[in-house]
Amino acid sequence: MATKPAVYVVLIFCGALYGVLSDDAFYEELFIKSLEKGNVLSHFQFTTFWNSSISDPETFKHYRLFPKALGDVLSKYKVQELHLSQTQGLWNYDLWGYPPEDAPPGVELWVWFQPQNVNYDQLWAELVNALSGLFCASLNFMDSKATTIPRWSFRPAGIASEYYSFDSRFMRYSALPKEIVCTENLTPWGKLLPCETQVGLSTLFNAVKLYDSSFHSLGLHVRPVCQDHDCTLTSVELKQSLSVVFNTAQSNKGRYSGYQNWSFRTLFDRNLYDTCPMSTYSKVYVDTTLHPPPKMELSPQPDEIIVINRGGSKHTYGVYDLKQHTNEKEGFNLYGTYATTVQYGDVKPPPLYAHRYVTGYGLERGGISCTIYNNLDTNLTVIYMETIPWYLRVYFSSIRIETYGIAVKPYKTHFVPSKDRSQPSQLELVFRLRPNSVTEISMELDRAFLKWTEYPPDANHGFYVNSAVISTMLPTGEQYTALPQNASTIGDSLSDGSSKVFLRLHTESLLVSLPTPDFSMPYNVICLACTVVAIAFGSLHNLTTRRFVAIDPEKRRANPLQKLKTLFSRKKSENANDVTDKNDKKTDEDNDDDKNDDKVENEKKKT
Amino acid sequence: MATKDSAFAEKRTNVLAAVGVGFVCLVIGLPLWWKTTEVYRVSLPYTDIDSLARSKIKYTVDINVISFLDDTSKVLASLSRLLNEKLGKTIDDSLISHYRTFSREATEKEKNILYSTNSLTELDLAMTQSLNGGKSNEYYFILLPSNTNFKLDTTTFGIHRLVFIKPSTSDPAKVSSDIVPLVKTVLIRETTIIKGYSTAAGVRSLTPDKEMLRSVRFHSGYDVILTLVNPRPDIFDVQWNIETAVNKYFDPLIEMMRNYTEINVKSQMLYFTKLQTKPKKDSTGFYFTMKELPHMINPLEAKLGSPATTNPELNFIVYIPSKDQQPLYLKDEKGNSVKSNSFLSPQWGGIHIYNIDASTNNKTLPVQQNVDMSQVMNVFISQLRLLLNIHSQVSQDVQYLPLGKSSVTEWELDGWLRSKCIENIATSSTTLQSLSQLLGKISNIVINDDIGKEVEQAVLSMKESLQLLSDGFLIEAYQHSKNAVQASEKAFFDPSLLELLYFPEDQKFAIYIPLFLPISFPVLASLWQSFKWYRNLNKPKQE
Repeated sequence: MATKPAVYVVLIFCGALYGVLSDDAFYEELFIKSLEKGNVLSHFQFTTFWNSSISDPETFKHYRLFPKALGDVLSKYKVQELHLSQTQGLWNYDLWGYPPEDAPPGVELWVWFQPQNVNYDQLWAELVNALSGLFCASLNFMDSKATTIPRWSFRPAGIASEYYSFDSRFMRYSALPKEIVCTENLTPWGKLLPCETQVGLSTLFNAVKLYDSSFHSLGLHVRPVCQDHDCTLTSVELKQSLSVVFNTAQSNKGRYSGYQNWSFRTLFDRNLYDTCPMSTYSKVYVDTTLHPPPKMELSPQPDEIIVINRGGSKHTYGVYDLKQHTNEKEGFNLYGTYATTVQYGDVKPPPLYAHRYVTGYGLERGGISCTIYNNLDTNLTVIYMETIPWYLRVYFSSIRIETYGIAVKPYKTHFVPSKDRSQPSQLELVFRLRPNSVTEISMELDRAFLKWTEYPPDANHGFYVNSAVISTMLPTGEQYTALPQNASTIGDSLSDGSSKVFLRLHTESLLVSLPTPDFSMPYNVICLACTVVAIAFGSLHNLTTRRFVAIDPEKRRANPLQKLKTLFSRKKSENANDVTDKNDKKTDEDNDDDKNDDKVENEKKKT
Repeated sequence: MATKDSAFAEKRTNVLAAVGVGFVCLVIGLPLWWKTTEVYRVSLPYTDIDSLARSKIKYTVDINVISFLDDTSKVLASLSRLLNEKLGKTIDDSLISHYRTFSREATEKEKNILYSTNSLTELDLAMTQSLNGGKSNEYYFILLPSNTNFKLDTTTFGIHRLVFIKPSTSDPAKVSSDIVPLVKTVLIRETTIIKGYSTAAGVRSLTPDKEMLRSVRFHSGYDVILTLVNPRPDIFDVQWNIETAVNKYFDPLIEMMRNYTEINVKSQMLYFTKLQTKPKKDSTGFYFTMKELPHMINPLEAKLGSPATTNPELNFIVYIPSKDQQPLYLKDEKGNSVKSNSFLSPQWGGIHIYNIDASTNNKTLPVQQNVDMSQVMNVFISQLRLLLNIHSQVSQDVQYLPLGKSSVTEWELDGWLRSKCIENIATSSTTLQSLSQLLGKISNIVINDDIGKEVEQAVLSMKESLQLLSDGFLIEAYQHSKNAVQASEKAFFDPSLLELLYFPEDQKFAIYIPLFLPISFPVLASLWQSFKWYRNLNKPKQE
């Protein structure tokens, strides 16, 4: 248990968060980073501070820069922290390094509620419904079947007492890997900005371009932060981010085809004309660490070049103050020009990354495997979290962690088995990765047979399984772009000199097919069962209400045609003289079985 | 013979078996199937709902006259009687107004109060205190002599529940005919009550009534949202001191209404939100005509609204015209500019156009500006009074004492409670009636125990409320009517009502037929045969 404290370093929040002392403040920032193989990452971040306590009910009454629609939701459901991401596409860790804002495909929401005397499940259900209206997303599907309470992976990101941050009763986590993100989500998200998408950096949101990209992620994070260094007062921080990855080497046409050249015009099809007048500052940062000047030339030249050492790794940023550049009213366009075309070769993968996949065959059993790569030459303690829907029934006994065939014993295990139709199974493991190793976590599961009404309309498409979440404290800042926990803006993060960085990464989400019935089956079953019952009943009923007598073998020899003939001829004669017999014949027609019987009776009467 | 007997016995056994099977299928099987597949429905008090819908609503008001005039003891008795006669007429068939009148001379103590006060406001307060703080639903008409310390020109309504009159004569007929219209049109507002009732009861009239269209329907809470719309914050940096303004202007009102309805006041600022219509230009500035006003609201509406509340929202908007549209005015039908430069949108809220000094020359942008909150708030408070239908717009020759701190007088609040109480009873009754009609029409609707309880609760509260209202306990009656309307709406809008609504009948039969058809034929046929046999059996015996 020697590494146990190290685990907590990941979790315990370091209390040195501070915003600005004055009134409400707003910052708009754009971070551009050239990635390998012709990709360019643009990360917009809009940070709004509200110098008021999030837990004070009087706070959310008079709004200035903070959006009222969101504030109403936060105050009504007494939210302490809210983290929402809406993502289209998968972040490619092997090629692109670490994202500024990590998010799984689909929608992910995790919330910390303020301590209060309520049923948190009910509160969560109401909150997701309100949010689904606010963000035009199907968050209402985050019901108890999709919601878990992670114990270690998601700690409060803002200021919180130690007692509070270790009490996971107050938090809920859910993800919808199937949710598709598009313009209808961008519009309500953009409406929350003080300048909306009318002026400032947000004018670059050109939906046609943004959704024609390799990766696209909208983020929204609310947390309480300190107002000053002493942290006597708190303020509410709302961070809205939009990350988008374009492959410019492919999209550039003509003379620059194959070059990774980028500019505002090629990325967003727009120039930047103004900045939001409400913003304290409006800046662009270009990360030139990967492609330093002779390789990529920036035009115009940055106002300032900042070199920082983060976790032992050097990062270089070119900074532009947009308030200076957009004054001319003629449109600001930033270029990154490359001397050569993109060289495709091996890319150095980041220190830690993972891949996850479905194993097994057939529709009855299966498994999930996750391979974690540690490229560091030190041990690394990680928290692995997995949420599996109830219809994939995981065997706890089958969970294995192995490094090159040697079993790894986890320090801590938290497993909540699923309950059919009410709760997913949840697994959290804390264990150590060996230096330069590949560790595999695997588990076996049964695929459940759902009720026929539980299948979605496209049942044969398969069912999605949430991404696994891996959290750790990296001893190096290599390929790391996210903000440290005590920073609110990208500007703050440029003075970060911490030796360790907190990393949370999401693996691929999975698509699993379940045994799917033929959906006309229920009606067929009803018909078949009813017919069987009717036949059984009919013959039993006949046995009890009819008399069976052996008939004359002479008559029996007559072929069926003759039989019919005699029957009809007799019928005519009977019609004439005997009324009562008619009824007998009526039943004759209904029940073929009775024919012989009736005939015998009729004959008897004649004699 | 032996064979005949055994054949007979066998036939009889067969018949008994057929009858037995038929009995099990028809007498036990069918009711069992019916019972098990029946849609679950709690029995609702249909007769009570019907009788409540037909029952008349009676409200009682106490009208007292206190005379400070000399030698009126004889006159007062006949005044009481005359008032009772004149007020007693009921105007509507489903609403009965009942006035209890009482007249008396002022006591010595009250006379002392009158001659020791120097203004009507002081007298209003002192008299209310001497009358035990004033009970709701109890009004006093004070007949004042001419030798008071202050001047009283015309009939004046106090901010509590007193009305001051200076009668020209002491003739009871004249005084009573002065008082009666005051009671009916100002104090009680009988026409508003009738209109509110008939709107809630769903009576259709050909000409929609302005007052009813304008005011918001009753709800247990309202969200008042004050919005400052600044289309160009890069030129005008407009700030408002909203916290103190809300404390000063809205909080007394909220405090007064706290026990009856919840009013939440919030404010926000919107930037870069422009109007999509362009104003016209004339010599004095820019203007919008009445026709164009609806187009102003629509672009703003998209930015308002909150996902976290179900209360109706009342929006009050301060619009700062951009520099190139200053000054901006509103013009009425006649082409005169509207004095308040604001307008009201029925059941939605109001917009006030706030022009600021547009000269930005030689100033660094953005220009700092502060909104004059008293100007804005006075407009909004009067608009809020109209939207809540507290305000009486009667052109009677009467005066009102200045409102002071609170924005609503006590008698106005009484009037609001009374009309909302009657409106709630009518709403609740029509809601329950619609529910019972719906249940009669659609057999697939499930009524679970919770809905049953809510309906019971609503009926009970309505009965209570009706009784209390006719006994003159206004506040209690209002609270019960509020419970009734909430319970009935909850029952009516319960999502479980919809659960089986879309399960069509033909699907049901498709499932039943494969079982019912093949079984019912032999059973019925053998029963019919048994019946025949039995009849044949009886015939020879009779012969």
